[in-house]
Amino acid sequence: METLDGTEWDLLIVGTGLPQSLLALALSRSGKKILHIDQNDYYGGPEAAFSLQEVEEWGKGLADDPSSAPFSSISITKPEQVDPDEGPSLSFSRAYSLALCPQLIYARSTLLQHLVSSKVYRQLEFLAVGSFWVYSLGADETAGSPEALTPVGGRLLRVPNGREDVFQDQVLDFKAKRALMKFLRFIADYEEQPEVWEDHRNKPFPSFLTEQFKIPASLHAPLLALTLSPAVPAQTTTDHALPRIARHLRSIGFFGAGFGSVIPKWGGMSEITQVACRASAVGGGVYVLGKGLSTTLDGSINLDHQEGETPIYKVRLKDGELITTGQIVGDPSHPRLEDPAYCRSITVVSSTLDPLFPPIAEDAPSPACAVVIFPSGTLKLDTADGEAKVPPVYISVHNSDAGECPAGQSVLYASIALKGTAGFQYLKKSVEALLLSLDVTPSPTTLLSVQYEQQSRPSMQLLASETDEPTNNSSSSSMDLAFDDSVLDQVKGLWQEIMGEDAGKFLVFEDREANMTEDDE
Amino acid sequence: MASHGVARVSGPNASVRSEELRQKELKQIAAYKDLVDLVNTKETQYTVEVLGLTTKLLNENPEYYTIWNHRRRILLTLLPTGLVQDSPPPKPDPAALDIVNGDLQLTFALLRKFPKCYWIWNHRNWILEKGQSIFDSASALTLWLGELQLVGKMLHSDSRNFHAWSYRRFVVARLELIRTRTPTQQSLTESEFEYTTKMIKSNLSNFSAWHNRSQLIPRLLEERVADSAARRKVLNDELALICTAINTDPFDQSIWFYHQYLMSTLSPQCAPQKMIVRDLSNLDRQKYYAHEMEYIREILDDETECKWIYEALLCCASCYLEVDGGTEAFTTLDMREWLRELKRLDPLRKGRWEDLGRRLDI
Repeated sequence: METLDGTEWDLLIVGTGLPQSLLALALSRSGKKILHIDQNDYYGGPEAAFSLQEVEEWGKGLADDPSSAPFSSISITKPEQVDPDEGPSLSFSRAYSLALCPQLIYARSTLLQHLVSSKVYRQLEFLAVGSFWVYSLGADETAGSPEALTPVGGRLLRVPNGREDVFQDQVLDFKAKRALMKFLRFIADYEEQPEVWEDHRNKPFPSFLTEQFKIPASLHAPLLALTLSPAVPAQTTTDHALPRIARHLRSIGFFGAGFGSVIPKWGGMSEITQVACRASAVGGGVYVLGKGLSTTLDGSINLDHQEGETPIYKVRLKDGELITTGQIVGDPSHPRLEDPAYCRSITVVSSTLDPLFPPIAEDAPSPACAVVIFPSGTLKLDTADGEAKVPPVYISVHNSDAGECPAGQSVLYASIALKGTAGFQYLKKSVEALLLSLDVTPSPTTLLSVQYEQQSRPSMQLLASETDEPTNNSSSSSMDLAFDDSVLDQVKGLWQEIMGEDAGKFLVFEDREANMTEDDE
Repeated sequence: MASHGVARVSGPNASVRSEELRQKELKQIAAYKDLVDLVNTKETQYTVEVLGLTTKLLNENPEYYTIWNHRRRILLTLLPTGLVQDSPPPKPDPAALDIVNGDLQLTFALLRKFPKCYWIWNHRNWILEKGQSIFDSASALTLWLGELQLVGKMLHSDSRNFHAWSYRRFVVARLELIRTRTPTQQSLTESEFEYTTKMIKSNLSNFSAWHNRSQLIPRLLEERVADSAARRKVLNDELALICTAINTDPFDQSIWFYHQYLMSTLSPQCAPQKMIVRDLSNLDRQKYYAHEMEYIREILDDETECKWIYEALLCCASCYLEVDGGTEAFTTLDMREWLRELKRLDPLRKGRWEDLGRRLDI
């Protein structure tokens, strides 16, 4: 292909992660000359999905060049098979599409509305997220003596979605049901009752529950689970918790009875990045993979000259090409010290893990995803002390309906807001505990385990803009278990800056002419 | 809250109307009026042509019940006469079949747009009853099973439509009637009971489901040939069910209605055919009332703003006093306090509560 050297662009977008891809989609009808590059040779950046082979290459690539990627400490384990012909084994490489960003999308999220209004929804398929489970140790009435050091085993308790779930729950006693219902009634329109929670805004959510609703500590776990907060309970503020619980409960029933969120098929958010980039390409955007910014010491971006009021930048790319562009969008290259790091893992197991996926409701779609939360303190490492300070572990379980693994297998995506060996150990422990707690025969075996650390990063912005300060200070949120609409707000903000006066409506497009060769599948 | 915000499909919005729209509407009104006049002048003509006119009119306004009456008179003329009720005809008359099916289609189409219009349900009712005598028992069974499916679908889209529930009872009764002629068919009572359980589990606030349940229980017990122990079990199970429901959501009125029904079956004044347990002693009754009052009072620990609780306590108290005038489970002072709370929480019904106070003599 011809060289990029000497080419001129209106906009350069660096990286094909979700925010950048959504921006490209938003600009796909603008007529701007857009060059969209990614230093990786795959789409999706931190939101990519990999086949087995691609996972290995990714691991090797990062080991060779650990530089600016948000990922580190990657290890891939394939347990030895006793007899390769007997028993379950990994299928061929392309049978897998392991997501680096297995987020769920709440029904009321504006992302879904925008995917519809921009017409790209036809290329996407979504599956229902079913039950949420909380791992509970509890005092096991049937077994063990109180003085046992290690509990007999935890069990999974389903988080109620609303009144009818609370009604049918067999574990909660009446007082607990009443307290929970009182809270559920409050959360339905909590914004109209600031007197109840204003004073507790910045205080820990558990104390708010105890003080205002007399909800005992033993019942905090399911409500905290719904906040999807990565922090320990004591550091999850009421301000943070309430809108998230409301988001969960208000989404239930929006698409159909019994569920409130969906996951994209075929590999988490990566599908959305690909569909968005494809739309941008159809609109004239030029895509080059395996091409990043130059990392030479003299800096890759330099102001070249002004054309009237518009600055023009000269940008040097990885292989020495020099391009000019009016604007540049990308991730700032250096993570800040205060951005948290997470340990994450992807585990493929040889079972459909059916108990995690009870049917949602009559006529509701079959669930493809189940979320399991291990509250702070439920997992114990022999070496650890002060377990209450350990953050919760979240596991998003996808069955083969999600298209990420072959039939008969499931993928467990686990994460914890902790880095280093301890983080990895908790993840391992959580997966083990989860599999042990399920009554499945034959018992599931682990076929593949991928572990890595991921650093949260400041979000995408205009690079080399007029002001020296970054346009926004928030972090990227591919670490969240659920897609956060603030990502779309950031994209919209940048889109408005780039488009200026004639912006039009954000992500609202008409269908292109019928002779476009877009497949629906 | 879902379901009952569903607005009726009516004419164009009365908000902002351009002159053009207004003229269009005036024309529509004029055309409608002409149609009405036409139908009414032909009131005594029972012909297929007038039938067609009523179809047109009813499609525009199914609420005009006089026209449904008129239509029925026409149909009576057009349908074959002299059919003996209980014996199936030698062969189904295709013309009659056409007419019946035609009206079934009409009402079906209209029900989808107006699921809560009394007259449409009524007419469907009527046409099926008339059609009964036209069909032989095999096709009648298929027809009624089809109706059961239809009403199931209507309840699926709006589980609280009492028209549909009432129609369901009618259909089930018809099916049971057919069953008595063909004893191999199973009774529907158990499955109908299960159906109410299912509906309640998916939405506790379903007045009609609870009501249907109360209607089914006496039949259920009869069909099971339930002895005293079995009857007590059913009563205890229902009381436990409603106890869980009350504890989950004391603010829901439909649950309290069912609770009142259960309480009424305990009372010595309950009609024998409505009793669940037939051999209750006064001691039994006291135990039941005491238990109910105890757990309901417990809810007051956490919830002081729910008027239903106070109302239920007063109701249980008065029942209790009937069987045990000297009970110490609660005092007159307690009752006065509950009445006070009731007046505080529901001041618009002050007169009613004062009346209650006088009746209870507190």
